[in-house]
Amino acid sequence: MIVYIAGFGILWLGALAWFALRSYQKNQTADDYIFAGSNLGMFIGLLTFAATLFSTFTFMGMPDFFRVHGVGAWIFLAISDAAMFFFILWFGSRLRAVGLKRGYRGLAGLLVGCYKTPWAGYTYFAGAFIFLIPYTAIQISGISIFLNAVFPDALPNWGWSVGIVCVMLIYSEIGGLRAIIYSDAMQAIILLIALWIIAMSCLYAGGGIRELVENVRTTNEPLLSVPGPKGLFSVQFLVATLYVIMMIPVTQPQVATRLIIMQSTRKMGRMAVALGIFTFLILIPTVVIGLYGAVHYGEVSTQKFLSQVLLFDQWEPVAALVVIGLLAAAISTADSQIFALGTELRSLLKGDEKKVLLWTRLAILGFGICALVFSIYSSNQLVLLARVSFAGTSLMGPMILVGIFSERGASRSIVAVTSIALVLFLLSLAGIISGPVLGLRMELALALAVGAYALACIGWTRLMSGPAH
Amino acid sequence: MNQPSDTPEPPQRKRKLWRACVIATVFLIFISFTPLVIPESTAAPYLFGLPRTLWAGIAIYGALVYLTFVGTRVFPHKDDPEET
Repeated sequence: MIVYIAGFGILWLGALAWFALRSYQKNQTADDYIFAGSNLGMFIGLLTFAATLFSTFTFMGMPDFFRVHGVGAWIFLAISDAAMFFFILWFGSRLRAVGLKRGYRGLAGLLVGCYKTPWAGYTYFAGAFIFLIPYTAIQISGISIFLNAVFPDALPNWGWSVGIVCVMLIYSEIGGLRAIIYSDAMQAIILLIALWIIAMSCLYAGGGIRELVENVRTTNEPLLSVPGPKGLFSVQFLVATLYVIMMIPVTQPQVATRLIIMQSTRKMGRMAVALGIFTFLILIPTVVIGLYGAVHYGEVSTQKFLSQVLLFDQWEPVAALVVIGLLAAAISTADSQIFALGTELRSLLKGDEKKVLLWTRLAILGFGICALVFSIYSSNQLVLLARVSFAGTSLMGPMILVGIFSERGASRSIVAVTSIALVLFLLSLAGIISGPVLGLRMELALALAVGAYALACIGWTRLMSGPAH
Repeated sequence: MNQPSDTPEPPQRKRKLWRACVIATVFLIFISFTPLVIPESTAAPYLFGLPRTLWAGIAIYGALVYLTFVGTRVFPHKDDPEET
């Protein structure tokens, strides 16, 4: 297998180098470097959006989620994703319109303009940094742990992490967003092919979907309904997840950027539909792999299950493709996030464009190092950690929505309330305060409180300013 | 990025269709979290060998993607300049 991994690895690294150099030649201005020319077509937009959205979290986390918690995982992710794609039509259209009007440089900069206070930008940037760095780190640590389990004598966990971060930073720094988008496109295709090959082999080994489900029923029947054997998928948990996932395009800068840089609003809409189809094609194999895992590897650890089902049960070239696909998936998601944080910082900076770009590049390097350090200490609970990250950033959703949708001037107090909610959520994660609040999960209670306050502010502004012109 | 344009407001019919799309989407999302789709600890009835939550969830997913497609046709946005 080592020979196949080396072969695919060289091809992949060669492609990354080519993407970086080609992008470097094409990038004429700072905006080219940061926004890749803002001219994405539907197909490339679909692939980069999908690669940014689906990462090791999907490749490794979702099969394990189906294996451990059962079919409720479909509602957890697929329904939430489908709702988000519809939401993109409305939100993306408005974001593009406001971005075009105000000159989009990043969500943080846009919020400064909407709220007419730099604190809106600082709050957004701080929230994005606090919750995206851990999410980026779990991409890196997830794949490092996996590689370490598969090749225990090659490198320690941190050694894999350092290698991944170095590759990611080198080509991002050279090629900018354009190089990232090219690598995203390649990664999305590798991910799709690898998932389907593995799922088909699981389906073949499991005797078809009917027999697979029947065997799950015999082995662990609660997997076939909610809340699942461990009781995770309560209605409240699923609804809270729906909210945090729907807020991804609103609050996650790497996703919002991809909406802004589409060639047109119409193409963005088509991309949302194509994303729905692509997501279906990505998630269906994870169901099959998860159910197969429930039957054959129901009692083993996550690591053992993943290394067995993704590698050792597969034909060697397929296993090698999976290793490279996982590396590519982790890197493409992580670099998009790191780069987006750099973009957000740039949107808050003023002055000579060359100096601002230099600071942005240095900041990207700094964010990469932060993610590396965090990855060495983070846990391997990919899906749940990803959800915490989404839940944290989703608290900023009402502030962003009010900011960009409000035509009468948004109340600055929303910025303060959002900051308080972020601090409370962090305190709850640290165990200093604990939920539930009035019977609601902490993140849901905080989201409802911030949302209700934002609505009250809108109502008050309308009342005070009279009917719209 | 493209520059904004001064296109006229989209027709009323498009707005109505868009609202219908939004209502249908909200309705589908709502029923996804009811016992209709996620009955507690109940896997029956099976369809094509799949348990209820899974086949109903897949059906709703398909319907939501279709509504997104319809939404792209009727969304009353101001188009970008090169398309107007």
